[in-house]
Amino acid sequence: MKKSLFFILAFATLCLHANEVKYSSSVKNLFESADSSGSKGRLLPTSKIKILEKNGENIKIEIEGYMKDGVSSAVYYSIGKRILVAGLSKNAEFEFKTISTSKDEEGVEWQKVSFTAFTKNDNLTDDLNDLYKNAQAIFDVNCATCHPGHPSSEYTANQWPSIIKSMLTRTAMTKDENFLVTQYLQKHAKDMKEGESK
Amino acid sequence: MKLINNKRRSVLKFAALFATIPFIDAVTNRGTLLAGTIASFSTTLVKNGEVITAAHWGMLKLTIKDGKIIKSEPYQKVSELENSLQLYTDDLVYAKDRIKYPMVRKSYLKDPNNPKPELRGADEWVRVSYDEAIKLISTQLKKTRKDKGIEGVFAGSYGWKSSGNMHNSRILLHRLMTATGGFVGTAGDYSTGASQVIMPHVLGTIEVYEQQTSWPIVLEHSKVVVIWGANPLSTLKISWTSSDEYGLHYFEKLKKSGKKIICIDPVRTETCDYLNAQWIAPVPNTDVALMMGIAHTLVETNKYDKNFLEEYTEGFEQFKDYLFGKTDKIVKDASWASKITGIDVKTIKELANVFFDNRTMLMSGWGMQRAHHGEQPHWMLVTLASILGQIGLPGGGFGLSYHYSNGGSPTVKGGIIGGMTASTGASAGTGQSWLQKTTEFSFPVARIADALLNPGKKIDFNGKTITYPDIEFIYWVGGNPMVHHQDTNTLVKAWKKPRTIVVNEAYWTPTARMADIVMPSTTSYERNDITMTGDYSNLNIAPMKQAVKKQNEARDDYQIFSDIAKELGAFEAFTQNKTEMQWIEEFYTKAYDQATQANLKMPKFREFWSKNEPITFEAPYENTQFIRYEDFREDPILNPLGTPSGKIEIYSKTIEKMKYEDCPAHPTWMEPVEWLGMKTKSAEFAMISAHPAHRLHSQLNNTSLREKYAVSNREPIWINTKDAKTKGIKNGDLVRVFNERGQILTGAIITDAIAQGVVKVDQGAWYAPAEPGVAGSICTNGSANVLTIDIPSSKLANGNIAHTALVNIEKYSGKVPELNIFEQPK
Repeated sequence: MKKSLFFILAFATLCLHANEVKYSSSVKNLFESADSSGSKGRLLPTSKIKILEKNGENIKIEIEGYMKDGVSSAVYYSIGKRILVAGLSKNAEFEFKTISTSKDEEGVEWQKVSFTAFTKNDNLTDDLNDLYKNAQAIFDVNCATCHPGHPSSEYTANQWPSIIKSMLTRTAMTKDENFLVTQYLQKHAKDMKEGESK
Repeated sequence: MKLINNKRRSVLKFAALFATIPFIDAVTNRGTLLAGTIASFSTTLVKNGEVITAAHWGMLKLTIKDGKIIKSEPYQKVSELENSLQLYTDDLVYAKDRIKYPMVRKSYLKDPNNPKPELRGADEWVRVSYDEAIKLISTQLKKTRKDKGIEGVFAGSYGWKSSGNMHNSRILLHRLMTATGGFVGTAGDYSTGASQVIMPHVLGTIEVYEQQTSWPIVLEHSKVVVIWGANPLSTLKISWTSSDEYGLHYFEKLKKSGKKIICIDPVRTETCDYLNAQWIAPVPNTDVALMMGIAHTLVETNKYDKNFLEEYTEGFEQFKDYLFGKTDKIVKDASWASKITGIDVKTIKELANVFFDNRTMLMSGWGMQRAHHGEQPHWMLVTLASILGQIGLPGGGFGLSYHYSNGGSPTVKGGIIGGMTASTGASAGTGQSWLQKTTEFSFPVARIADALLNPGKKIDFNGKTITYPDIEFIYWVGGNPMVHHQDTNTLVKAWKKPRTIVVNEAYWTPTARMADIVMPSTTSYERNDITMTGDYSNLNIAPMKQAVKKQNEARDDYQIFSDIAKELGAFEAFTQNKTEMQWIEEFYTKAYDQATQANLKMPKFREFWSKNEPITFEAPYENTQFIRYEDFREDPILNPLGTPSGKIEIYSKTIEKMKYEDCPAHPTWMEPVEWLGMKTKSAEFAMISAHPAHRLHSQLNNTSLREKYAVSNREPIWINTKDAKTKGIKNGDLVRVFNERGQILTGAIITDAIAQGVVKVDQGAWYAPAEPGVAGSICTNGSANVLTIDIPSSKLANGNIAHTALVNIEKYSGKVPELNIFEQPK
């Protein structure tokens, strides 16, 4: 009786968090298991995750994205564009599921995947729009003093990281701000259609 | 030596890893501003003594006596090369042509709804009170917004506004417009209009404003340095922020290094002479053909890097087919190139061998891309560098910014000050409906005359279609379009279209004279400010302490815009209730916080400000060893370029899809609209309008520095000795330069330092029409842009084509017109 009650409670707790969708507000460390100490991946800000389990400070999450044939260390936001969802160590052993496969314009194969990872239950938000607002504000303050600000639609998703990188030393942006702003600009780039993602 | 290289390699590998997989422990949080520490500052001026300030031309030490500037000199001396621009601050402050009071054009003041815009430039000026001027501007701005909407207000306001992160006039104007309801802006600039649009397709980044392979690497590893269409000795006197002056220092070192230096330029520049370089003078606008001749020679003789082309580029095969005439039956070999460029076959082949056999750095300026089809030269340069295969190697490859803002001067580790922003915070974030709307109306900066003359016209631009807005109100600050824009007479006509033109200026520039309302602004020596120096190096934080009191009725742009904002109910949004000194402290504190987190010591703001000395940072060792594209060369998968393929795109499928006949999908030689090799020439000489050695574009033309270079009181024209003889022109003669677009008066310098058939009139002489406001009137001062062409480089970039122009010359024999552009107008 007691045992089953425990299970019901545990199940209820799980249900409470199951499929809870959140967005990372900073760069986050990803771990292979709840008790592993070395991080094997980084989740980029504004990336969407699903919380599968909560255990104190730690959570088990599911991350979706696209992997390009031959590039094992990167999970991307959409096909054919180098918008990083997560960067992984070469020897990382996360649990991957392949959802589907397709080819880009160049005939390169892309797999839609999901994988589970463990991370700390912090720097997550429900409000993606608020994150984007924050990113635009950082962009306005740091990237429009020497020249007028550029609209995010001026460059493509692939161009933005190079352009930000080339100008970065002239700003006081922190590394975390850099990643947030770059992700925001990439996801609102010239070649991104409204709502384009997985 | 090897040890150092290995060490650098390992540093790089780490850097590459960081780029892809960010480490959370490396992420820091920026400290917050301590608002409580801001207190009012004493703004007592130094009556007798020294004040440190800065301008685009470097940090300055001003000597003040009895409250007046009596001497202006460089704060530091890091090179034997002199910077003439640093010595005339007193002339700038006490200029005869300072705008003393707010002034309104007579017809405009009489009836702003029927202001007789055709009289612009020729009307009388009426002095009004400051308050009246502010009310007039505010009322008319409001009216235009009501009648025409946001798209009726143009505030793109391009130009080299004065240095300083606080009194940044263009950004302040944008801030005012943002706070009060929106405006139409522009895309791109005049310097690199073509290149900055094509380069993102080719290299995935804008390239022209980026740090170069560091000078210590060039000096150590390059065997041959090619300066292609650049005059660094002249252009390195300035920076967008403030010059760190090390560019000239490194060119001095280059001279002393004994390396082989080649200058490719129709003009034997002062740089070429100083470096004792080999001079090769192609016909203007034919650099693409020269590069193709070299490329063909390399491929034909099998002296090229197949591996580099395969690993790091896309589309070389398609380009090769074109190069070898498979697509158009024209083989672009050395003899083909020779006929176009005027350079003999032997020299072209020699260049190919020299480039391939030696570690060669191709340093290119921007003049060659301010030309018809200006997208092509740098695209072809990158292609040539790819064929040579030295991109990403120490001292090899190409660089598009060694001539500008001290590119290659290593980036320091320090703090970066903040600056004024266009966004007011209140409207920051997504969902700015007006921003979306004006972005749609924003057009390429050099299309201004076309836009004013043709509201509603649709143009192609980099894969998009743009519709020109119907502009009724122009506000311009910190710029001088009547001088910097091509084909002045067309602009004069276009300038008569809007109902209202407001200009904030310190001087009666040609642009101020063509306005309706003129607000007298302070020079940067009459207000407090702060700047970084070295656009790439960030070497110093320089205080820009007010040196003298505000002259006449001059006000800071910040003051003027605050008062307009107040009229329009946006005072708080615009000023955030902060004074000049509060903003400056805030900007400084941003750098202080950053430095502190990097364990670097910086004085607190008060100490810094009262000490009145710049802060200098040091470059870490790895930055002195920076090699452009080394990370890409090391691992093109982990460090891809921002192009669709992640590689250098010699062939661009993106551009192919645009189907522009004037910008095909790979580098292509296309005849410019006017050039010396054309069948039926509209005029006899090709005119180069180079960056002036003794001005910042049009800035400083109204100082006594002009006496050092003007010839017979006019802008000089360089004419080849043989050409001068044919035309019967002698040194010091007045020369009328003319074509179907206009006419200017210049003073002759006869020289062998320019190719035959080519003349040079530096850009930036103030446009001084003999009959003000009348299109076609002769410019008595010699503004080159009266003669240049106002068509776009191509549909891709819509850059200006200032260097594509044919002109005629003749000895001037008419009545010598007076030159009164540097005096008060009537």
